[in-house]
Amino acid sequence: MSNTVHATINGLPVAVTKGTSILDAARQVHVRIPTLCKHPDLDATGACGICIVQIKNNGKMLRACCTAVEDKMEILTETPEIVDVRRSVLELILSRHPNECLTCLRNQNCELQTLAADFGLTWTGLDSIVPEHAIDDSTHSIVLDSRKCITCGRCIQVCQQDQNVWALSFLNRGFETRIAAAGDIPLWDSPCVRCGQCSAHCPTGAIVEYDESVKVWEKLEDPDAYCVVQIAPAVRVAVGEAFGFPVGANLTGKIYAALRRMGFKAVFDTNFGADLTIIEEATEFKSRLLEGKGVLPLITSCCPGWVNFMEKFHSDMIPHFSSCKSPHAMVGALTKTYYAQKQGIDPAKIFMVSIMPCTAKKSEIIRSKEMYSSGYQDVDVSITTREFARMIKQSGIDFVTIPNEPCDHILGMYTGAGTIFGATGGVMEAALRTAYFYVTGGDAPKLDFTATRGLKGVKEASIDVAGTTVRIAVAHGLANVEQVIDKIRAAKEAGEEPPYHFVEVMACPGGCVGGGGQPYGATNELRIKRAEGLYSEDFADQLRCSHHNPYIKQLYDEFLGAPASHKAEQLLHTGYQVLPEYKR
Amino acid sequence: MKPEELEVKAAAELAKQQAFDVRLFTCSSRGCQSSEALGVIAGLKAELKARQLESRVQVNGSGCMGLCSKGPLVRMTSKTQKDILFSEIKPEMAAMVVEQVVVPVLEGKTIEKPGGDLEHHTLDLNDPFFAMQVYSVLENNGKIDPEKLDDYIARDGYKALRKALTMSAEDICKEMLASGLRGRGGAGFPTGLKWDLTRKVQSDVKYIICNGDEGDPGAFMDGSVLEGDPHAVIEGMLIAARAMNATQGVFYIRAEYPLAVERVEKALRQARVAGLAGKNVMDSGWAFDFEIRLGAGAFVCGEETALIASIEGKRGTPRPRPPFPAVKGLWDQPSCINNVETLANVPIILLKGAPWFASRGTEKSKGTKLFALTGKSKNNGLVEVPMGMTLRDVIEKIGGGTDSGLKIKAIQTGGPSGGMIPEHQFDTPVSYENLQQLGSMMGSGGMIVIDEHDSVVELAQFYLDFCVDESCGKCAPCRIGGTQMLHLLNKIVAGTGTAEDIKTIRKVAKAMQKASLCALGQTAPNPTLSALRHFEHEFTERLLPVATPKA
Amino acid sequence: MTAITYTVRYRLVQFGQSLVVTNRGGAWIRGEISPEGAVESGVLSRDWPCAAGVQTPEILPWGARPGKRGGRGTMSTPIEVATAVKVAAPKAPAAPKDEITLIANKWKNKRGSLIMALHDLQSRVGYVPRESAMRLGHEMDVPLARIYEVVTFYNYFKLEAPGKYVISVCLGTACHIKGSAELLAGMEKELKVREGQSTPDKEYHLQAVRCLGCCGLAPLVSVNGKVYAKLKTNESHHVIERIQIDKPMAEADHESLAE
Repeated sequence: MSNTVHATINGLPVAVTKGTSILDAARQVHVRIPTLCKHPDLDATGACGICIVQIKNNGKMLRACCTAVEDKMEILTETPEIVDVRRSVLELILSRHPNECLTCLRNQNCELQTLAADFGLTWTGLDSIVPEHAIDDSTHSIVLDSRKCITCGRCIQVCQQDQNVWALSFLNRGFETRIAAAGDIPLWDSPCVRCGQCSAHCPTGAIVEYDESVKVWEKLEDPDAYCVVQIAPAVRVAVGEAFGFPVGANLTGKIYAALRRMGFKAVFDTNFGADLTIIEEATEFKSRLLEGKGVLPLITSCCPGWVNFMEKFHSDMIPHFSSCKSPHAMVGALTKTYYAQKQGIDPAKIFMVSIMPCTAKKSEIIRSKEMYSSGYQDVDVSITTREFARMIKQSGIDFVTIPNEPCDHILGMYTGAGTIFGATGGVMEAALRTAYFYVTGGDAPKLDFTATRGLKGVKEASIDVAGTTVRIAVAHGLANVEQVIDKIRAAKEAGEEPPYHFVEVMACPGGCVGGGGQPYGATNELRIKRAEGLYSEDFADQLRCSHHNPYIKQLYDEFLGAPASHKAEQLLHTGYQVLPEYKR
Repeated sequence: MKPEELEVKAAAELAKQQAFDVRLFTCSSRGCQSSEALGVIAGLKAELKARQLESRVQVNGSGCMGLCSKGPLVRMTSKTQKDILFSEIKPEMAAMVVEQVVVPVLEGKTIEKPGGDLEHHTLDLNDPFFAMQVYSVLENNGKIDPEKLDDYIARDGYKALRKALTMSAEDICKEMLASGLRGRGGAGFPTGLKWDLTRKVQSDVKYIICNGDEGDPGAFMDGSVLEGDPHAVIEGMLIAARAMNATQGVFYIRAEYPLAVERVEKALRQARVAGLAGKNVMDSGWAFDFEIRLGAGAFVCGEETALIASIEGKRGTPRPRPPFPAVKGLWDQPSCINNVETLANVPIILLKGAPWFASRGTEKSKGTKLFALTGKSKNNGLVEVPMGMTLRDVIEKIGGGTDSGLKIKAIQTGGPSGGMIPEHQFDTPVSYENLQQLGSMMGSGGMIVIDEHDSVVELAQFYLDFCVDESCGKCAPCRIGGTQMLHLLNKIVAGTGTAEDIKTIRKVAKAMQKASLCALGQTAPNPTLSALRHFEHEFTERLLPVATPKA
Repeated sequence: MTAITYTVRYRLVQFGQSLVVTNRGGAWIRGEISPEGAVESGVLSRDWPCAAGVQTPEILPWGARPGKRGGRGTMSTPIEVATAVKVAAPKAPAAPKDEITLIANKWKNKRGSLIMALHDLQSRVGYVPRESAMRLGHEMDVPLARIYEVVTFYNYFKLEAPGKYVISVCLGTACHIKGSAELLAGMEKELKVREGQSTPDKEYHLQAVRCLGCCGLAPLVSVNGKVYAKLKTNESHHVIERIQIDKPMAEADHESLAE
């Protein structure tokens, strides 16, 4: 039996592989069927009814997103009747949606709004029947407003299937259906790990980041405050999407310039923190691998979503966790100690802002007492790439044309190893480069450990480090973590040698480039391009190993002493605790 | 049990029954149990014991005998005279029945019609309600005790299964197709075709699922069949399983029918013990067993894919079809879902042959159909009529008109998915096509009679309210469309609606019909639309008076 | 202190036993219903830890319907708060732990049996208590979110302990035609509760159900499984009296769990 089916769409012949949806087939003949609930990352559910098309011979209306093309199907996609029904459905959806577009974070960036504009809806003729639901901003990372929810189910699919967190679920049925944490508890009490993937996939303003840009503006205007900022690796290759740059364009210099114009007194780069993390983590790894101090595998800890997940669901893995803080937390701690001392600034006046691709960082900065290691809150506010893009727009800076500027201080000087932290496998690759050096005393002949790259859910490899085989695993997307953890646990219970020596985990699909706080519309295609933006910078860099960063050396010489020194422990390391899955 | 043992068992049971001079069957279905039928059974037993007549008179429970509004019903059969059907027997009347009727009959007297106090508690079996019905699925009701396997076997039970075990899967499907049996759950898809589609899918695991989630408010046929003749459904499922090489059977029964669940559980236990289900069905080496899953109060779970989701322990939300369950159903395996009444038809068809079945009915709708006749009908209850009988015969003759004597305005068939049929269309013969043509549908078989005092606007509102309540909420057209339509209908009922609102109702209804994901949403506007079609004046009469401009 | 000119809309919502006051996009303040709290006396005092300086907070009463304008008041309006706080019901017992283990063991190896396990649980304690659901989920390895999405989807499951006598008024079509709405309204008046609620003494729980399958006997109510049929719709009082005399017992114990 042939695996190709032949059909027509609006009279135009198409030939597609069996099982191809009408939606995908239509692209072949340059027909764009409007959709609302469908997301390229996720399974089609057929919830919204916007993508209906008609079968010519029987007039039946089917959903293009979840109906496979059948042989000899004659499909119509744009008859007046279809458009009319689509408009009616859209009118219905709008009658259950608050008319708050102008004061919504998704204004001009909302899939429902765009669709309404496309259809030129002016008045629905239906009474507004928006239920009153409380807004849940308890996590301080994401804000859930189920009044704006169109119950497309994307967030739930992401939370349950892709992330295996099961914080969100539908509650009730029919018109009363809404998204909520189990049994209508605040998200804060739920298993939510703050990864924010729900917000990144939401088509409307029902789940958005907890916007703290106003706090930042307030401090920028405050003459007493000494505002310092740092940007995460993945931000530089994503923020441009909000300004029409090609996906993956690396805009580090423009970002520095824009931040300086906004009024930040010092502009740092989290990449420096990443290099520092590698030094500390590779030291830790070496001592576990060669000196038997602590258990193997060592598991990375720079992703706060993952840390939350582990503390709630896999707390038996705590001994495996690297005690290193995440890179931005390290920079925060150093800013209010090392930098403050050096510049003679009162750390109490320093206001540290992190610009991150991440919603979990927002609550990470207050997660435990170690986050106050400088004597103050090490990082005062963490905003997402999306908030940052809006701030650039608010400030009136012409981001497209603004010339590049350098960063301010050694806390902004980094190597290619720090840059690739933003992509899945990047931390592992950077760590391997340095670990190789620590074990052998020389650099690896080839610095590209390509086995760690790409979007495969779990990447496993054995790497020869001068005769010692190092088994690694890289997982991204929390649902993929389970199989890695299961393996570790099984070996442990059986008393066998651990299946891996070193494990990297990132909560978000694709790593930070696909973070929950990144610009909307992320698909795997986009994630790859963003990652390429990072890898190409690394490839072009003179310095591609954290241990070659001269400023890291300077930092140890001037301030920290040596890796894993007492001071380093105090400022750069943290601990973990067992958290209940549900607080109530 | 070996195949040949069926006759032995049947003969033994028949001999046992013959030993009794009189047999009493008291309806022990849900409806009559509510009217203390169990007390009646106990009363009869006690009275017969006191008179030492236990060896001559057998007291049985039985399935529904139709006229639920007159329950509990007690049927007396005797070798010496014709049957007598008592109605509204209270436990305290048991002694009277024994004394005034049973004892005289035992003494050799013939009683045409009981007199005295029982005169008004006897139903005329020549009344059109009984005389015009054609019993096929209900054939055993009132004649066997649903809790006794041997009773079923004595009435040719499991012979059809024995026949099926000698046939090829394809032949069984062909036989079904030839019979013209169509799904009794509402949509009317040819059963043989459905089986054949499932049969053709290659898989090591296949499921046959019995849909007993009778959610239509005002319909109780499936519950009555499960309660009254559970073995017929089990046998039907076993045959279906053979026809498509299914490996597991699943009963999905609504939790509101605890008695049906109990009866099916009991029947399954009996069948396993007797070797009619389980590891070695009828000594054929074929292993097949059943599981029971309960619904939990969701009308939408009558939809095949929602039902599957519910069996899988999830929210009962439908998913888009295709893929159809025949290809990807329960646990992603090929599955066939048949309604209770459909399955109950299967053994008779196989036993008596497709031509026998096809001889009844219209060209495209064969056999008989169960209806739950309720509302303002004089005779309320479960009826079985041949396809092709006119609606008027069903409503006016079998139903006996209205209880109030008022004129009948319309009937509603197909429940919340169906529509209203006005009185002037009652001469239409019952068939899937005809009902659809009238803007209604067969549905599962609820038939609600409304009289001239009833408001069709309020009935439409009732059904829409039901659908809004029962919408799963997954797709926007149904979730929001239903609510908006109801909102508008509420306005009209409250007297604040406008002509514009009626227009909007039609517009929203169209969006729901065209763009809803499953049949619940697609059909939810039907009662309202059919009411509008036939009785628009009742809507317009309720509109807000249009203000006339001042001179 | 200068008056604040912008309007802050407050919402008062109840999550379980906690009251949460939240303003849009701003601070999130929570508190427990405690004996000392001004809440229980029916007044949210000024001491309630809401953001200082807010002059005109608006409270949306618990259970207020969407879009309705009425029902908003100020923080100090006792009546608003009284409706916001549900009367703390006597705590109904959760199913004993070992019983939940039994239920879990009975079902956990059968695929997709969550609904069956929930039926067992509810038949034991009359509803699905949160602690029991958590434990059941834990033992059956089902996320609590899944349990709640299922429990709240199906009408049959209750999240709160119902009264001792569950009065189910059938609102199926046949009963509807015969006036069951009037019957239900009469019952509501008689018991002084709304449909879906229990009387404060936890004696009666009034609920509407969709068709009990005894359409021939319409209109009817069922109390703990016992059916009262062919009722007169204007005689709710009489029906309650009959129930009071009968005190129908809950249905016979379901099959032994250990089976």
